[in-house]
Parts: sequence; C-alpha cells; structure tokens
Amino acid sequence: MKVKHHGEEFIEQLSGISLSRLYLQDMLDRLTTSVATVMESNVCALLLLDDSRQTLLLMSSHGLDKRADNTVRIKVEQGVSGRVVREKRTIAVNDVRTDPDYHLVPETGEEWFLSMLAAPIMDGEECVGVIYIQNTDQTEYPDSEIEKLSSLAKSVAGSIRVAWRLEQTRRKAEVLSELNDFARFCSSTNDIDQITSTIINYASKLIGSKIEAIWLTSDDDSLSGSHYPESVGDIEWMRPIREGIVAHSFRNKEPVRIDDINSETRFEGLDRVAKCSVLCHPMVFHESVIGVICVGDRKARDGEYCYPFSGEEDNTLAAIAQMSAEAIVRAGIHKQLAENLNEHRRNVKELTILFQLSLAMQRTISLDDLLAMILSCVTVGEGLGFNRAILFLHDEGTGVIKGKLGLGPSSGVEAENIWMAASEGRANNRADLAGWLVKSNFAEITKSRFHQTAISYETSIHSQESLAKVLRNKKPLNIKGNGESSLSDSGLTQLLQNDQYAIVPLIVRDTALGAILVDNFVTRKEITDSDLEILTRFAAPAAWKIQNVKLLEKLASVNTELLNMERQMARVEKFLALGEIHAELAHELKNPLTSIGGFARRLEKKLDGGSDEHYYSSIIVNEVERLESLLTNTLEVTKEGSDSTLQSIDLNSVVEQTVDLYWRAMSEMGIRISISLAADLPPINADYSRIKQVIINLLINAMEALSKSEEGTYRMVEIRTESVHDNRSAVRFSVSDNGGGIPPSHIKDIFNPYFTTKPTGTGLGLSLSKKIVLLLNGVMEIDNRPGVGVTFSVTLPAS
Amino acid sequence: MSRIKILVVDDEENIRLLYSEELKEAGYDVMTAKDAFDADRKVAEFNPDLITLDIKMPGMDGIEYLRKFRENDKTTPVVLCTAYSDYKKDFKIWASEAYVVKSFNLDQLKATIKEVLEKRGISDED
Repeated sequence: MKVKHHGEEFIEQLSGISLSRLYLQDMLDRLTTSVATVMESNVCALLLLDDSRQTLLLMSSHGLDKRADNTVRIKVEQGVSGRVVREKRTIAVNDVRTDPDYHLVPETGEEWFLSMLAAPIMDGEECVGVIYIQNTDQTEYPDSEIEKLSSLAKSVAGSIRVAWRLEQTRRKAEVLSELNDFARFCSSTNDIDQITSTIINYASKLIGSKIEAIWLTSDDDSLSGSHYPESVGDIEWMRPIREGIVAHSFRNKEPVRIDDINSETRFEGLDRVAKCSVLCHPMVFHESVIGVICVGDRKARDGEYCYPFSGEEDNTLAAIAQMSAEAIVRAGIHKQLAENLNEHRRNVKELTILFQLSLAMQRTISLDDLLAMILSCVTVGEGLGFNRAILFLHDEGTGVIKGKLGLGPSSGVEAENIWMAASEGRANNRADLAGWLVKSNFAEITKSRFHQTAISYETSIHSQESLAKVLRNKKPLNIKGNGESSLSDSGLTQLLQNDQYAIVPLIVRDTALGAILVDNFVTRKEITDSDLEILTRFAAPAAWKIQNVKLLEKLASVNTELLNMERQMARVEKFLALGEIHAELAHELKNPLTSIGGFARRLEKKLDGGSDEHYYSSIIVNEVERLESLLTNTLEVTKEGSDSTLQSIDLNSVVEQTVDLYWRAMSEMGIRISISLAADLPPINADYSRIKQVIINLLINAMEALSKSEEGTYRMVEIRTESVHDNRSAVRFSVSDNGGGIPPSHIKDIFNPYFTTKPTGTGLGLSLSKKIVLLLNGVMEIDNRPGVGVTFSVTLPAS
Repeated sequence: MSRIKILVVDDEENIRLLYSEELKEAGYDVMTAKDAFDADRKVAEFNPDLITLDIKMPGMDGIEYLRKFRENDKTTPVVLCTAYSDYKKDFKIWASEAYVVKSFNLDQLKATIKEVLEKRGISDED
C-alpha cells in the first residue's frame, strides 16, 4: 500500500468546508470525498449516532452506493463501527471476512471491500460517530495511516458536531412546524374518520414508517382496529387485540419500541404486523388510555430493507399520540353532543305533537271524532307523518279485532289529490296542529276507499295474524318485509298491498283496546325504530283517551236509563204519596159509611116495599155500596208493593184461571174470546192475586167498552201471552177488544186515579193495574185505535 | 133453652148498635164492649160463645187484645173485622177463627159467624 502526504492541502480544504455555510449533508459529502482522496482509499463513510445513542446512521459516503446515505442504520452492538463507538478507539481490519464483528450492509454495495479502517468522532469524552475508509484489497494499515485517520477524525469532530446540531435543530423545527399543521387540522374537524386518516398521513410523513395503524377503545373496554393502511389489508388489524405489543402498550400506558421484531422476546403473541421495527404509543387523555397508535418498519430509501426508528422519530410519535388523543376525545364528545342535540330536538317535536294532540282530544267526547283526530295526527306531516294509518278496535266480549277507521290514499295518484286538498287550510306549523286536528271529520274520512278496505279486515285475538300477536303480546311490531315476499303471507300484507308496516297496541291498564297500524305506502320510506318509538309513546295517551270516551259513552247510556227509571220512580212515589192521604181518609170514612149503609139497609128492610121511604133508603144503600167499593179499591191502591208476596208464577195459568171466571159473563154478552198462549213462556216473579187483579181489570175494561157497542155487532176480546227477548228476557200479555177504542182526548188521563167515563166506575181500575205493573218493574202500554179498539199490553221481567 | 151469646167489640158506638141490632135480629144474645178493657170485663160477666173484634181501636188494638185473650181462653171463637182484605196474610190473626172485611152489608159477617159456630158444634140447644 502506498502512503501519500497531502497534509497541508487537506487542512486547507478542511477549514474551507468547516467555515462555509453549508448544510450538513453537503459538508459531509465534501468531507468523505476529501478524506478518501487524502487517505487514497476506495471508500470513505461517515456515521453519526442518533438521539437514542443506540443507532448509527450512515450520513454520507464516498465510493459506496449513494442511495444508502441517510438510510442505513447500524446498531451500536453491531459491526466494526459499533465496536469503535463502544471502545472509542480507531480499529483497523485487514480482511473483514475473518473479523467476527463484521456486519455486512448490502445496500451500500460494500461487499467488494475487504480491508477497513474506522476511527471514532469524539465530542470531548463522548463518541458521536464513526468515520471509516475501505479498500478493495487486503491491506494492513500502517500506524501512520491509523494515526492519520484518528487525527483527521479529531480535527473534523468540532465542525461536524456544530453542523449536526444545527441540522438537528433545523429538522426539529421542520417537524414542529408539521406537528403544528397537524394540530391545526385536528382542531378543524370533528369527523373521527378524517382525524384518524390525517393522523396516519402525518405519522407516515414525519416518521418515515411503512405501516401505520390506530386502535381505539370500544365500549367494552377492549381495543379494536380503527385504521390501517390498505397495503396491509390483513384482517389481523381489525381484530380486537388482547395480547401482543399493542395490548401491552395499552394496558401499561407505556410506549413500546422494537428495533428488530425477529429478535424480540418480551411479548407473547407478538403482533405480526411489522417485518422488523415497531413503535407503539398509547394515546392518553386525562390519565386514561383511549387508544394506541402504532408505526412499523422504518422505510429505507427503496427496496425491501427496513430499519429501526430513531429517537427523534419516537419523540415525534409521542407528540402525535398526545395531540391525537385530544382530537379523538373532542370528536367523540362532539359526536355525543350532536346525538344529544338530535335526540333533544326529536323529544321536543314529540312532546309538541303529544301536547297538541292532547289539546285537540280534550275538545271531543265523541269516539268517532276522537279516532279521526288520532289518525289525522298519525298521518299529517306536522304530526307523525306516516303515509297511511288504520285504527283497529278489539271487542273483549267476542274477541274480535276489527278495522274501525282507515286514513290514507289507496294509490299514489289519490295521495297527491288528498295532499293537495289537505294542504289548503293545513296548519302552517306544529303549534297550530291542535286547531287543525279538531277539524278532522270522521264522516269525510269514512268516504275513502282505503277506509272501506280497512274496515273489511277482521281477525280473532287468538289468530296467528301479526295484529292479533301484537295485541296478545302488548308489544309493538315493525314488519320490515323484504319487498319480494308473496303477498299471501298475511291478511294484512294483502290488505295493504305492502309488506312493510308497523303496529302499535293501544293499551290501558294491561288491556289491549286495539292497535294503530301505519305504513309508508307511497313514499316507501323505511319505518325506523325511532319512528316506532314515537308512535308507541303517542299510542299511550291516545289509548287512555279512547278508554275515557268509551266510558263516557257508556255513562251517557246508563244515565239515560237512570233518568227513565227516575221518572218511573217519581210516578210511583206520586202514587204512594197520594195513597197515604187516601188511606187515612178512606179509613176515617169506612166506619161512618158502614153505619150509614148498615142502618139504611135496616130501614129498607123495615119499610114497606112500595113506599117512597123504602125507595129513598134503597138509593142510600146503592150509593153507599158504590162509595164502599171506591174505598176498598183506594185502600188496595195504597198498599205497599212490599206487602205482597212474590213467587214464581206461570203467567199462562193465571190468564187461563182468570179468563175462566169471566167466560160465562162474556159469552152472555156475545163476546167471542180468543186466547193464544205462548208455549215457552218463562216464569215471572210476582204476586199471584195482583197479577190476577190486573187481568181482571183489563177484562172488565174490555167488557165495558164492548157493552157500549150496539147489540148484535161483532164483539171480540183477544188475550195473548208471549216471550219477549229485548235487553233482558221478559214476558208479555195483552188484552185487545174491538170496542171502538178510547177517544184521543181521554188518552192522557186514563191512568190517573179517579178518572172514569163509566157511570158506575171508580176510575181506579187502570191506575191500580198500572201501579201493580210498575211495582213489578214492568211496563203497561196501550195501543189505541180510535173507532176500532184498544190493546193493553203488560210486559213483566222474567224471573 | 139459652140463646147463643155474642160479644161485639168495636170503638164506634154506631157500629156497635148496628151489629147488635142485626145480630139480635138473627137470633143471638148480643152484648157490646167499647174497647179492650171493657171487653175483658164483659167476657168475665157475660161468658160469650163468640166474639167479633174490630182491629183498629184506640188503646189496645184488636190483634193485641186477641193475643192476650188467647193466653187464658183457647177455645172461644173470635171473628176479626178488618177494613182491609189483606190482614189474612198477617200471622197474628191466625189466632182468630175467621175474619171478615167490614161492610155496611152484614150478610157476610152473619154467614161467617154461622159457619164458625157450626164448625165448633155450638148451637142453641147448648
């Protein structure tokens, strides 16, 4: 080997380099070229330790593949350079092939060089890098050469250090500027996907990794992959990671740095995400880990090589992780707020609708109007906005569920017409909804074709129809359909010509009154769970109101019945009050009358049959007889109903026995008697003698009416009994005659006590009969045909 | 031969007179009493074969008197005279032999008395 002396020339060059305001790279390139020339070697290379002090980075080379500059990294444990750093002395190797420390870096193309001389670049006591030369032949470097390189290394150390620091500062400023951009971006968006992809971009740009990924915590506190590069595409990335590097970093809230994954032994179930190096940082926000950011395989300039990450890169990732954590948490909070706001808006809308509906519902007590309002509210845009709705009611007595009202178009064309018509006079905003709902017209709605379709539907509560199931389970049902199913699946699907609909039951105190069905037949808009939720909440007050109105209607009919009964009672009371006075009076009259009549009879008997006195006495006797009969009847009228004994009576036999008594008398009057008795008459609870008295009174009335008709005319009395099935089971008997009827002017008086048209009548027969019937909860009716005849009929409840 | 004795109990003087005249005419011995206390005395004094008893009387009414009377005398027939026809449903008058509804026409009363006496086997020959 030849040794050349270019001492002075070199020093000159060297001072030129160090003094010039060059960038580090230029300075080092010139330096390696100069050193190679001065040392007359094929190769000169310079490596510097990074911040971690664990890795040497090839900064510049002369005679090697320039693409390796700033790419190749060697760990301080490796190779001859590593030993120089460790031992802080110049080392010469004659033949690298025999040196155990030698570490081939293939990217540089150094395989051609056999000898190597490497010197440490010292900064005081500290080694900051290595400069070495290589030659293609086996060379034993003389001491002078070794000394020369050592002193060269010493003389350039200061300049390199300054330039290196300067360069590092410049790069840090660059990174900081990028991080600043990153931070600005992070705060400019709340879209979590945008944030994560930006994180990935910046990580890749600032750190120079091949692979980047982010995991975020999910609700169950496990991790799930949220972002990974397409190039990886391994399903592993998306799986929740429970063990390995990422999980370790997450659980222990500490970064993990791996230079070579193939020699790594610390982690079980090592993630197979990177080929060589990995950096992993937890994303921590206020002490809690919200995720992990991970980069893998420090890029080489090209090719398949990868290297460990530098300390600066580790720091940069730490900064990114910190900023990312804040951005992601903020975006999460924003998303939550937005959801809350939406829910709040939905609640306000819902409450407004419910409030407006309840306002409208307060204004009606008619079930029909109420149902019309409910369906209007379900279908109007300012309300729940469904296309169509049907209200079904369930009859608990029969177990039948029936369509009661349908509102909506039966075709798209009809929909347009209806909506055009409805938009006139439609509420402008939700606040007017109540006013608009009140105008819902039941009769108008029932004219529609869809209503006719709706009310044609009927099913049993026990059937397999979806409607019956909803009522049985008391839970809403959203039938999404699949758009293709055959329409014969369900009666409702066929009815609606639509397999997407929802049903909500109307429940009051655990009883299903009915249900509301909705669909979006025209718009084909999907019924969401949130739609169904609103409808369900809406159904509760609607059901209560329906129940109330039904009760009101029932109450009204009970009230009418009560009023009727009260009127009847008032009549009875009038009789009773009247009767009490009569009883006193009659009793007081009875004894004097007995004396008057008794002695008149004695006179009559004692007096001569042809004398005027006898005749006068007989007048007294006759008159007393009439008065006594009046008194007896009066006392009968005033008897309380409770005095009589009720027993089960066969009306037919009472009628037969009573008619028997008068058979002869009527026959003698030439009256034709026709009796028709119903065979299946139920027994009644009554007082035998009272009923008999009523029949007698009616027979006598008929006979008296007939006695007025001319002798020889056709006289007829017809007596009938029959069963009546009205609200309750009852029996009826009637007595008809053809005696010319009652003059219309007398009709209103015939049931009044003491009203009579007969010369010898007491006027108590009909009023007494009517009273008896009333006391037995029966009804006496009169069918009067003036000029023809009259029919009295008595209806009594069966026992 | 002694005649059958009938005690008429009634608070109305005219009624007592009417009953007594009619019954005497029918062949009975008649004595009258104006109330329950009077009746007690007359029963002891007169020892009637039959009593007609008005129900509605001041003081002790006929039904009450009948109950008291029956405590000592289980056999003497009593015919109750009522203003109403439905007293027959009152168990309290079961203690009487019969009852008649009061009327100015005493035919019914006389027929009833006759019937009761015959049933008891009481006749003029006793």
